[in-house]
Amino acid sequence: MTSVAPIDGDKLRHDFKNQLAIIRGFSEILLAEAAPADPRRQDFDEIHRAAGAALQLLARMYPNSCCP
Amino acid sequence: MNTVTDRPFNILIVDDEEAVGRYVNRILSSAGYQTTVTVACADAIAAAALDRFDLLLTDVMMPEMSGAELAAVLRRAVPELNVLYLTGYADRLFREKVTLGAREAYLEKPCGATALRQAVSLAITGSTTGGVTQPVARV
Repeated sequence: MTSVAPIDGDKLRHDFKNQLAIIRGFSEILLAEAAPADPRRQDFDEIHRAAGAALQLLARMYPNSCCP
Repeated sequence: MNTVTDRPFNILIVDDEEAVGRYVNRILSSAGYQTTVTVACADAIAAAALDRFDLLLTDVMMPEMSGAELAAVLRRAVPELNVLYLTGYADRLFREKVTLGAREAYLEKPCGATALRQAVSLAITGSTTGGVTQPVARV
């Protein structure tokens, strides 16, 4: 019989949130560094907005995860 | 003759997620701070033994030890070290530390570049517009 290690929900959430933060953070850098007329700005903005939306979804999935 | 030159504030950035450290380093180094980035607490402790840091900017949940434990280790040598916890899960921090101590603050991930810069400035200088350098008198 194979034993399965229990999933650490806190760590999973932490790591997932980290990845979303990375996506949002670097897309913010790309937006800040792109020239106003850079045709990629819209793409960077899509990435930035999607990461923000994913973070909001995560907050809705775990509404009690807030500081005291 | 004494001359005064500005020394950039020196920040030790610790996060076991390499890309997070890279992002934070990018924002702060482009703002004018001197930075050292590590993914391992052991490397952070080694770096702190060789250099003087004005701020420890650390993740909370890390495999070797927590950010609070790392801060306690570094403060044995430098009790006045400022600490900014960068956490994606603030209540985990408060499970470990009932209250934050003097010269400690936290910032929730994800945070934007402006919030990060202001939090760092506040943690080091006590002001969000405190600047990135401090005068150092040289003989």
